[in-house]
Amino acid sequence: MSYEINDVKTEINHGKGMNYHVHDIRAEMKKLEEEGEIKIAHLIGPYREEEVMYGIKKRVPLDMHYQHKSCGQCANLPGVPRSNFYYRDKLGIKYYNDMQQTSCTAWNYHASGLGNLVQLASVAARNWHRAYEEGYNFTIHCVTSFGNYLEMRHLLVGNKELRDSVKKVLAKLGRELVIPEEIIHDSEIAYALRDKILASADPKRLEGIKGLRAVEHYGCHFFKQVSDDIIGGKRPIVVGGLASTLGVQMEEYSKWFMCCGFGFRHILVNREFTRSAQNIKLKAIKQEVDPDMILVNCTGCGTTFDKTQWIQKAVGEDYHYPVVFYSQLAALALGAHPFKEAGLNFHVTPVEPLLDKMGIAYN
Amino acid sequence: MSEETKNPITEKIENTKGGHFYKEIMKDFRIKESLHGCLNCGTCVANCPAAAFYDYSPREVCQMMIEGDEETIEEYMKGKIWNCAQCYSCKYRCPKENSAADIVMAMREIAVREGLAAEALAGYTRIAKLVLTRGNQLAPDMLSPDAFPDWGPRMIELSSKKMEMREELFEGFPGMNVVDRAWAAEDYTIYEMQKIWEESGALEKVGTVFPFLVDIVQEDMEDKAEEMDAKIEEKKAKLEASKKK
Ligand code: SF4
Ligand code: SF4
Repeated sequence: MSYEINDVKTEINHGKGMNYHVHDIRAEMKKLEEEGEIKIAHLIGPYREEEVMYGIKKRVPLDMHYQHKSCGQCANLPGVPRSNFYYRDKLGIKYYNDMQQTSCTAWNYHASGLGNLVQLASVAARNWHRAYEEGYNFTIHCVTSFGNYLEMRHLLVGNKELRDSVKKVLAKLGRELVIPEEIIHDSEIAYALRDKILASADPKRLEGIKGLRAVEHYGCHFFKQVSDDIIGGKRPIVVGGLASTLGVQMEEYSKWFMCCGFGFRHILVNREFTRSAQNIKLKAIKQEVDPDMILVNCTGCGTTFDKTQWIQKAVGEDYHYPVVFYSQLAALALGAHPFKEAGLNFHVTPVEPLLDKMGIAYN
Repeated sequence: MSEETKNPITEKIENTKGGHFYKEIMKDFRIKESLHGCLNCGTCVANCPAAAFYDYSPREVCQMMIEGDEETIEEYMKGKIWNCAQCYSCKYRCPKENSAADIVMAMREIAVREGLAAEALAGYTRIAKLVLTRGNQLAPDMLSPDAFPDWGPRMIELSSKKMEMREELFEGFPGMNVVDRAWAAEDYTIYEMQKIWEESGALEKVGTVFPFLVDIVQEDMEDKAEEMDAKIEEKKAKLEASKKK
């Protein structure tokens, strides 16, 4: 069943009428700022407002993007950060690819339990402070980082004890606690820029994209870890929203909610679990849709979907769905070379049939 | 969440039941936000990928904490917690807004601290080392086809050509075309990261599983300390000056 992205933007999805339970982190931050407890890194430059839960407005910065990178993407799916840079170059957006940033270390934390909350929150705050001192808006490539930073913001705002410990660590580095006004994932930015991407797209490329059938999968840490600050309300819409703006026909499948099986540790040391969870998802996708591609926004899920299709032959299944990130789709629409600029040749599930269908040359 | 949140359910148990592990878990401030009573409805289990494949249940995680059931808690501490995929599906769907995911995370931290995680973390050395010595968590070099044979034949091709492919992709983007780490974070940045691990007590915890790693990090820090600490002092002075303004 295909669907319009606006169908899911219902009042119920936004929890309207459930005001008794509104948690407004922005109001709490403002109060702490007034009390001198925290500093806020306020947005720089133009922004677009999008609705999150309870109809609260999230402000998405449209320029001056600090690029907080994903270690999983850079190592394993490098076409994703490259596409993130590409669409900004094409749209004339200023960005900063900083080499004084570290990983968020949340993949490590969730997989192993090594580390602790003071460490995790201090690492977050050090990276936030880098963007602040350079004069950029903090924006995030990775869903694991995104979920982690939403959670760290939540815990830091709600907990004086944690705040004080983190401030102490930061002071030893000559830094201070500055929390970004908005925690923004790159796919939210691409969604907020959808009309601009469409307007700047190569008409020939759009011709190839039009009518492609796709399903979407969102990282669990994009919308389940802290679920009240994602665009669209309870169910995310940014990937499908961008894709359908560009002409992709989005299709519904029953297992959209289910975890991909990445599991943080399982992808390393328990891959039989990962493969089994994948088989459930892929089976539903095949039986119910059989799409041209699977669209994703998460490092871990992109890896899992891309790397775990071939092995399903072992249980008699033949899956062959190219896995494409929202920003790779945007880059392709804007005219990127599929390999040299969108890095789709780093994916192990073949993307060539999709590119052939889109009429894009790759050799 | 307000700062002085009290949770009558957890407070009652705290004062009456539970053993060593229960008490340790309860010290984690996330727990008060993660337990609000349980309907035993099983919604979390129905959405839990770990429950689908393992002898593991987020409902049981919440129940054992509400009951202060030390025997079951111990069973989880000694193995079952490592089955959780940390997907937060339980938290998202629970009508009581419980979070087995967060409880498990608190338990994993304790398992590491109390030396119960050695088996679960076997095979994890390279990631831990990369975090502590390079400032990021994954490197193209780690994705060798012999470590991931199930990722298929294209991995072999990719692995042999990754240098040229990355060079082509990242032409004009300094710091991105590296294979021994995800990106080339500066030495000073890595030092700051190591300081955070040290100051927060996290490095000491690493020592319970990977003692040799603590030695490596400390040696690495010592080698750089003089130069890096001078930089930090400069930064501190700058921050002080900006505060006075
Ligand atoms: S979904 Fe919530 S209330 Fe229902 S069994 Fe699970 S923890 Fe208990
Ligand atoms: S976070 Fe863990 S317990 Fe919760 S649903 Fe996911 S796998 Fe199950």
